[in-house]
Amino acid sequence: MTTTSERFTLQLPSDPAFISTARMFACSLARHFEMDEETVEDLTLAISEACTRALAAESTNGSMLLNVAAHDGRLVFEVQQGDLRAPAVTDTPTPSHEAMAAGLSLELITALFQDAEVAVDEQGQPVLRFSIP
Amino acid sequence: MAENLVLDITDHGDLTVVSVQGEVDLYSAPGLKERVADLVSSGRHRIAVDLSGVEFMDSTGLGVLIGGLKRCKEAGGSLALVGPREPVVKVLAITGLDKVFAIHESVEQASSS
Repeated sequence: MTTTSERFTLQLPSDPAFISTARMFACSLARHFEMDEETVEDLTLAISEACTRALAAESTNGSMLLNVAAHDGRLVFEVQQGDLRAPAVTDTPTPSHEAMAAGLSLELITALFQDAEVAVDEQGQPVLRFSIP
Repeated sequence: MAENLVLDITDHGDLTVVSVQGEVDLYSAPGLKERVADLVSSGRHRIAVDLSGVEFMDSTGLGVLIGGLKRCKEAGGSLALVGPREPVVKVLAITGLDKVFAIHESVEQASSS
Protein backbone atom coordinates (compact mmCIF):
# COMPACT_ATOMS: atom_id res chain seq x y z
CA MET A 1 0.00 0.00 0.00
CA THR A 2 1.31 3.46 -0.92
CA THR A 3 1.05 6.32 1.56
CA THR A 4 1.66 10.02 0.96
CA SER A 5 2.66 12.54 3.60
CA GLU A 6 3.28 16.29 3.34
CA ARG A 7 3.86 19.07 5.86
CA PHE A 8 3.00 22.76 5.56
CA THR A 9 4.01 25.57 7.92
CA LEU A 10 2.86 29.17 8.22
CA GLN A 11 4.67 31.56 10.57
CA LEU A 12 3.16 35.01 11.12
CA PRO A 13 3.84 37.96 13.42
CA SER A 14 1.91 37.92 16.71
CA ASP A 15 -0.50 40.52 15.39
CA PRO A 16 -4.31 40.20 15.14
CA ALA A 17 -4.10 41.70 11.64
CA PHE A 18 -2.63 38.40 10.42
CA ILE A 19 -5.37 36.10 11.73
CA SER A 20 -7.21 36.46 8.43
CA THR A 21 -4.04 35.32 6.63
CA ALA A 22 -3.99 32.17 8.78
CA ARG A 23 -7.65 31.55 7.89
CA MET A 24 -6.93 31.93 4.17
CA PHE A 25 -3.93 29.60 4.39
CA ALA A 26 -5.92 26.88 6.13
CA CYS A 27 -8.87 27.23 3.74
CA SER A 28 -6.62 27.05 0.69
CA LEU A 29 -5.05 23.85 1.96
CA ALA A 30 -8.43 22.31 2.77
CA ARG A 31 -9.72 23.12 -0.72
CA HIS A 32 -6.49 21.80 -2.25
CA PHE A 33 -7.18 18.50 -0.50
CA GLU A 34 -10.79 18.62 -1.75
CA MET A 35 -12.55 19.05 1.59
CA ASP A 36 -16.22 19.99 1.27
CA GLU A 37 -17.28 23.60 1.75
CA GLU A 38 -19.00 22.99 5.09
CA THR A 39 -15.75 21.56 6.44
CA VAL A 40 -13.85 24.54 5.03
CA GLU A 41 -16.23 26.91 6.84
CA ASP A 42 -15.78 25.01 10.12
CA LEU A 43 -12.02 25.04 9.62
CA THR A 44 -12.05 28.80 9.04
CA LEU A 45 -13.71 29.34 12.40
CA ALA A 46 -11.51 26.84 14.26
CA ILE A 47 -8.29 28.39 12.94
CA SER A 48 -9.47 31.87 13.85
CA GLU A 49 -10.32 30.72 17.36
CA ALA A 50 -7.01 28.90 17.77
CA CYS A 51 -5.04 31.97 16.61
CA THR A 52 -7.06 34.19 18.95
CA ARG A 53 -6.13 31.88 21.82
CA ALA A 54 -2.50 31.99 20.75
CA LEU A 55 -2.49 35.78 20.79
CA ALA A 56 -4.10 35.79 24.23
CA ALA A 57 -0.94 34.12 25.53
CA GLU A 58 2.73 34.94 25.62
CA SER A 59 4.23 33.37 22.50
CA THR A 60 7.63 31.79 22.93
CA ASN A 61 9.00 33.40 19.75
CA GLY A 62 6.78 36.40 19.07
CA SER A 63 4.97 34.69 16.22
CA MET A 64 1.90 32.67 15.40
CA LEU A 65 2.84 29.25 14.09
CA LEU A 66 0.47 27.00 12.15
CA ASN A 67 1.58 23.50 11.12
CA VAL A 68 -0.45 21.21 8.90
CA ALA A 69 0.36 17.58 8.20
CA ALA A 70 -1.38 15.87 5.30
CA HIS A 71 -1.39 12.10 5.39
CA ASP A 72 -3.50 9.98 3.06
CA GLY A 73 -6.22 12.60 2.71
CA ARG A 74 -6.33 13.46 6.43
CA LEU A 75 -5.21 16.90 7.56
CA VAL A 76 -3.87 17.48 11.06
CA PHE A 77 -3.73 21.13 12.14
CA GLU A 78 -1.56 22.41 14.98
CA VAL A 79 -1.58 26.03 16.18
CA GLN A 80 1.14 26.86 18.68
CA GLN A 81 -0.48 28.24 21.82
CA GLY A 82 2.38 29.70 23.85
CA ASP A 83 2.08 29.97 27.61
CA LEU A 84 -1.60 30.54 28.29
CA ARG A 85 -0.80 31.63 31.85
CA ALA A 86 1.35 34.56 30.71
CA PRO A 87 0.04 38.03 29.76
CA ALA A 88 -0.84 38.85 26.18
CA VAL A 89 1.79 40.41 23.94
CA THR A 90 -0.68 42.10 21.60
CA ASP A 91 -1.38 45.81 21.88
CA THR A 92 -5.00 45.21 20.99
CA PRO A 93 -7.30 46.10 23.91
CA THR A 94 -8.86 43.02 25.47
CA PRO A 95 -12.19 44.11 26.95
CA SER A 96 -13.76 41.91 29.56
CA HIS A 97 -16.39 40.56 27.18
CA GLU A 98 -13.72 39.62 24.67
CA ALA A 99 -11.91 37.83 27.47
CA MET A 100 -15.13 36.00 28.14
CA ALA A 101 -15.33 35.14 24.46
CA ALA A 102 -11.85 33.66 24.67
CA GLY A 103 -13.42 31.04 26.89
CA LEU A 104 -15.81 30.25 24.06
CA SER A 105 -12.92 29.62 21.66
CA LEU A 106 -12.10 26.11 22.84
CA GLU A 107 -15.78 25.30 23.20
CA LEU A 108 -16.35 26.25 19.56
CA ILE A 109 -13.34 24.33 18.28
CA THR A 110 -14.26 21.14 20.14
CA ALA A 111 -17.86 21.46 18.94
CA LEU A 112 -16.64 21.59 15.35
CA PHE A 113 -13.80 19.06 15.63
CA GLN A 114 -14.36 16.45 18.33
CA ASP A 115 -10.73 15.32 18.43
CA ALA A 116 -9.51 18.87 19.25
CA GLU A 117 -7.07 18.91 22.15
CA VAL A 118 -4.40 21.06 23.73
CA ALA A 119 -1.28 18.92 23.42
CA VAL A 120 2.50 19.24 23.23
CA ASP A 121 4.25 19.16 19.87
CA GLU A 122 7.56 17.52 18.93
CA GLN A 123 9.44 20.62 20.18
CA GLY A 124 7.70 20.50 23.54
CA GLN A 125 5.51 23.53 22.76
CA PRO A 126 1.83 23.62 23.69
CA VAL A 127 -0.34 23.37 20.58
CA LEU A 128 -4.03 23.21 19.81
CA ARG A 129 -4.43 20.17 17.55
CA PHE A 130 -7.36 18.85 15.55
CA SER A 131 -7.85 16.95 12.34
CA ILE A 132 -10.15 16.64 9.33
CA PRO A 133 -11.94 14.62 8.21
CA MET B 1 -10.70 51.00 12.06
CA ALA B 2 -9.67 47.68 10.58
CA GLU B 3 -9.82 47.68 6.79
CA ASN B 4 -11.73 44.39 6.67
CA LEU B 5 -14.71 45.86 8.53
CA VAL B 6 -17.08 48.58 7.33
CA LEU B 7 -19.67 50.07 9.69
CA ASP B 8 -22.61 52.26 8.76
CA ILE B 9 -25.06 53.87 11.20
CA THR B 10 -28.64 54.74 10.25
CA ASP B 11 -31.72 55.66 12.23
CA HIS B 12 -35.10 53.98 11.74
CA GLY B 13 -37.39 55.86 14.10
CA ASP B 14 -36.08 55.18 17.61
CA LEU B 15 -34.08 52.20 16.35
CA THR B 16 -30.41 52.73 15.54
CA VAL B 17 -29.10 50.25 12.97
CA VAL B 18 -25.42 49.37 12.87
CA SER B 19 -24.77 47.77 9.48
CA VAL B 20 -21.64 45.64 9.52
CA GLN B 21 -19.82 44.46 6.42
CA GLY B 22 -16.76 42.25 6.34
CA GLU B 23 -15.10 39.95 8.86
CA VAL B 24 -15.37 40.30 12.64
CA ASP B 25 -12.39 38.86 14.48
CA LEU B 26 -9.79 39.90 17.07
CA TYR B 27 -8.41 42.50 14.68
CA SER B 28 -11.64 44.17 13.64
CA ALA B 29 -13.92 43.62 16.65
CA PRO B 30 -12.58 46.58 18.70
CA GLY B 31 -13.94 48.95 16.02
CA LEU B 32 -17.42 47.50 16.36
CA LYS B 33 -17.19 47.57 20.15
CA GLU B 34 -16.18 51.21 20.18
CA ARG B 35 -18.99 52.22 17.81
CA VAL B 36 -21.69 50.43 19.83
CA ALA B 37 -20.33 51.85 23.09
CA ASP B 38 -20.37 55.37 21.58
CA LEU B 39 -24.00 54.92 20.52
CA VAL B 40 -25.09 53.81 23.99
CA SER B 41 -23.14 56.66 25.59
CA SER B 42 -24.90 59.13 23.30
CA GLY B 43 -28.30 57.91 24.48
CA ARG B 44 -29.20 55.50 21.69
CA HIS B 45 -30.24 52.42 23.65
CA ARG B 46 -32.36 50.60 21.06
CA ILE B 47 -29.87 49.12 18.64
CA ALA B 48 -30.04 46.55 15.85
CA VAL B 49 -26.80 45.14 14.48
CA ASP B 50 -27.34 44.22 10.82
CA LEU B 51 -25.10 41.22 10.19
CA SER B 52 -26.30 40.48 6.66
CA GLY B 53 -23.01 41.79 5.29
CA VAL B 54 -20.83 39.78 7.67
CA GLU B 55 -18.99 36.97 5.92
CA PHE B 56 -17.25 35.70 9.05
CA MET B 57 -17.49 36.17 12.80
CA ASP B 58 -15.66 34.36 15.59
CA SER B 59 -16.06 34.37 19.37
CA THR B 60 -14.35 37.78 19.66
CA GLY B 61 -17.25 39.25 17.70
CA LEU B 62 -19.71 37.39 19.90
CA GLY B 63 -18.03 38.93 22.95
CA VAL B 64 -18.50 42.40 21.51
CA LEU B 65 -22.19 41.73 20.80
CA ILE B 66 -22.72 40.37 24.32
CA GLY B 67 -21.04 43.46 25.75
CA GLY B 68 -23.25 45.69 23.62
CA LEU B 69 -26.37 43.84 24.71
CA LYS B 70 -25.36 44.23 28.36
CA ARG B 71 -24.75 47.97 27.95
CA CYS B 72 -28.07 48.49 26.18
CA LYS B 73 -29.99 46.51 28.80
CA GLU B 74 -28.34 48.45 31.64
CA ALA B 75 -29.56 51.62 29.92
CA GLY B 76 -33.08 50.21 29.62
CA GLY B 77 -32.79 49.38 25.93
CA SER B 78 -32.12 46.40 23.71
CA LEU B 79 -29.70 45.09 21.13
CA ALA B 80 -31.03 42.80 18.41
CA LEU B 81 -29.38 41.06 15.48
CA VAL B 82 -30.58 41.26 11.89
CA GLY B 83 -30.09 38.87 8.98
CA PRO B 84 -27.08 36.80 10.04
CA ARG B 85 -25.75 34.53 7.30
CA GLU B 86 -25.39 30.78 7.76
CA PRO B 87 -21.81 30.77 9.15
CA VAL B 88 -22.78 33.34 11.80
CA VAL B 89 -26.04 31.52 12.55
CA LYS B 90 -23.99 28.38 13.18
CA VAL B 91 -21.67 30.16 15.65
CA LEU B 92 -24.67 31.60 17.48
CA ALA B 93 -26.32 28.17 17.65
CA ILE B 94 -23.22 26.33 18.90
CA THR B 95 -22.72 28.84 21.71
CA GLY B 96 -26.42 28.99 22.59
CA LEU B 97 -26.46 32.72 21.95
CA ASP B 98 -29.27 32.32 19.42
CA LYS B 99 -31.45 32.05 22.55
CA VAL B 100 -29.96 35.18 24.11
CA PHE B 101 -30.33 37.63 21.22
CA ALA B 102 -33.50 38.62 19.43
CA ILE B 103 -32.74 37.74 15.80
CA HIS B 104 -34.77 39.31 12.99
CA GLU B 105 -34.84 38.67 9.27
CA SER B 106 -34.93 42.34 8.32
CA VAL B 107 -34.41 45.82 9.71
CA GLU B 108 -38.14 46.48 9.20
CA GLN B 109 -38.99 43.47 11.36
CA ALA B 110 -36.55 44.65 14.05
CA SER B 111 -38.00 48.14 13.90
CA SER B 112 -41.56 46.96 14.42
CA SER B 113 -40.77 44.49 17.20
